[in-house]
Amino acid sequence: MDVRIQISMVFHLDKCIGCHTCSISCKNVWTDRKGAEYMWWNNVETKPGTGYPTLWEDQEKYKGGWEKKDSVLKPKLQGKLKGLLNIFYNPFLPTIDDYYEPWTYRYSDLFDSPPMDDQPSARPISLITGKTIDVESGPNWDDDLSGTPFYAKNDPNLKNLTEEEKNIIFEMENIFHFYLPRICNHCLNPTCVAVCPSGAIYKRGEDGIVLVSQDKCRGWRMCVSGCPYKKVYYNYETGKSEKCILCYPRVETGQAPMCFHSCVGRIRYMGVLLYDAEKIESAIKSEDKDIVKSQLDLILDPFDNKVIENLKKKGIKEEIIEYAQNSPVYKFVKKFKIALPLHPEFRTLPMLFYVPPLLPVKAKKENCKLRLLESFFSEPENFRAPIKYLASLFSAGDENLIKDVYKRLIAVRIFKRWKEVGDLKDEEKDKYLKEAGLDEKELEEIFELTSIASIEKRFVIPPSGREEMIDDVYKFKGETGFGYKRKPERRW
Amino acid sequence: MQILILAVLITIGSFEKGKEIFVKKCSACHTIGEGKRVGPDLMGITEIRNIEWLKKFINKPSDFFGKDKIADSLLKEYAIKMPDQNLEEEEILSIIEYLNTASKGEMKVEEKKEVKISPEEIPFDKEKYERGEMLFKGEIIFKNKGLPCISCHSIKNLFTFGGGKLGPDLSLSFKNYGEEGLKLALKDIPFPTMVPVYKNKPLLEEEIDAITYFLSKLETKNKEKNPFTFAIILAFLIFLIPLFIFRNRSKGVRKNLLKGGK
Ligand code: SF4
Ligand code: SF4
Repeated sequence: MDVRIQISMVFHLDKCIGCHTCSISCKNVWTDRKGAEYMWWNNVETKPGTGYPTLWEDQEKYKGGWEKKDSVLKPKLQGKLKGLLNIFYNPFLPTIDDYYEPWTYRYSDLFDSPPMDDQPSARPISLITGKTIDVESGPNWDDDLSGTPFYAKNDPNLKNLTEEEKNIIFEMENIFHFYLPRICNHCLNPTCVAVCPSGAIYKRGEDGIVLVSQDKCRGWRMCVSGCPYKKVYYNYETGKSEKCILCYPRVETGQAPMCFHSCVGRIRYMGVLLYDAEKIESAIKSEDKDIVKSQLDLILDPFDNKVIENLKKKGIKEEIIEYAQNSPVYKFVKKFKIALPLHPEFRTLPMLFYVPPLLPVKAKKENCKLRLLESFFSEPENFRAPIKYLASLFSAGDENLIKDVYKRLIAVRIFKRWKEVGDLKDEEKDKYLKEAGLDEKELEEIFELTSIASIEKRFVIPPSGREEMIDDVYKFKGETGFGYKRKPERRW
Repeated sequence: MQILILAVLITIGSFEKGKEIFVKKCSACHTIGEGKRVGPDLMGITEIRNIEWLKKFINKPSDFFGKDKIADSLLKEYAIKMPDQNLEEEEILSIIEYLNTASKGEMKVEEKKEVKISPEEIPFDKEKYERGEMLFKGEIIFKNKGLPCISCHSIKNLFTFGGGKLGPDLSLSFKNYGEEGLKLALKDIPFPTMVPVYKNKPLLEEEIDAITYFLSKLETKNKEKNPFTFAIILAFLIFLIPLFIFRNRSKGVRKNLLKGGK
């Protein structure tokens, strides 16, 4: 056993209201400078939809993630030789149009306009070229299903649905959507790191945050193609790649990242996970159908004595164990098993987990009236979003995994309704509890964690102990915290 | 009438003077009865052209191009405009007289010479060629400190960064002027733009010889592959290879999606 630490996250999709507060706070803190205007380290997309950049999930186009061939795992993008041949010519990059051309407005049009019969309007101008443009797309252009026939209908996750099934879900009374906020997953087996020819991307040992060294990056942009989630961006001004840094300067001081902190829906949870590094290889090589299970198997029980012993042996602070035991992420992912990774089939072992949304149930038309199906707390099969669709997003196609999660989520609602409203029979409640495999105490805990958890319960961030990593603190007094003083810029 | 005018001219103009000017200023491009050079053979010209026209044309040919049919057809045939000569009226009359007399064969015309020697016939002298080239480029300065040719002239394909654009490209100068014509042109400098430049700085025999030789060998030289051009073509081809290999490089998916494609 080789116990390691990973700061990981859970997003509870049921609670996301699509307000984009997270994206805006991230943008204001990290990416509002030249060359980074188009980057949204945190973005919120509407599902079904093609996302940002367009069709990022289609790895036939972008060649992100890993590919398993005869039990050998290789980056889908390229091996070492092809990497060398392609070094000056990365063929699988999204274009700026697939992100969107960032723009501002020529406000002088308003100020300098001569008196006219009509209101003057400011023309949009490109932030890249400075020329006027027609705005055709944006990071959340298909928000709330606008552009459904183009964007939602081309969602790659619909590919397993039959034409008939697709048509049904786009009918007015059956249409559904939910929001999918995305940041870098700070994967355990990140392809972005694997494909970088400069060795500029690295995963920090102490907390698993994946970072791009602005000093080493030479702008080959292999990481942009390699990351199946398209969460590394190329800064055209400095010629370096940039990505979500999980607000590590905040995390190191015990604060939640900006997008977490500002989240209006309080959908975000952060905590530490302990995992067994020795199992990574077998996990990433397992079959698609087992990949989620193998990923969850990696995650260790922080109450297990063997795990604690191993941690202690490594000289890691004992305090961490307590944080791992209180980690909301551990509870969501391992204890209650209601959070799943996004597209686990990319085999990067993403460390951001999602609680799938409980979407409304299907309706039936009766005498020109719409009626909900019999049971309000319906079976997963009665959801508007086909299980197949959700399975394509969160379980590499395994529908049973999704159903199991929903059974547990529904059980919480049944239990609370039984308790608070009292219009359900005990037998009915017991039936659901049994199916979910959870007891009343656990259901209460899930309820608390998902609805009324305080900030301390949502963000359980262990101390980074950076001061202990330095032998002679006084030597570095007045120096730490500045990092590189050289501005990132093209150096050759 | 024509005869009358000629008779008057002959009395005014002087044959000897006309010959002198012709040799100095015209013979680089024209012959009398020795065939075409850069310009037409002027044998019998006084009979086929109106004398008034001839007078005006010799005086200022630039006034004729684009306005006069004969001048335009000549330009079409010889593809080079005769430069303005800045001559006195008396000098022009002498030239016409010389042309008239020489054409009739009354005067002994100098022996016919082979105008066009095929450049291949002249054996290649590397040293001479290089000296000519260096003189042309100004790498060796003319003894009398005249400007190097490259200041005003260029030679297609030979100098990567070109030459001056004031004078014409000299790649075909040997073909057009012939050896003798070139040598004469360099010796007497009949071109008005060149006159003030070389008036007090004439080229030496040996320099004229080397430059003429260099120009005579251009055509043969040009046929050899210029390694630089070859390198450019090769580099371009190498550039094309990745373009071909990665012709399926993503060209953006969104616009295609809106058009109904995948
Ligand atoms: S999600 Fe983040 S860590 Fe994972 S491959 Fe992409 S950029 Fe790398
Ligand atoms: S701030 Fe929170 S609720 Fe709002 S869009 Fe972002 S994740 Fe969703």
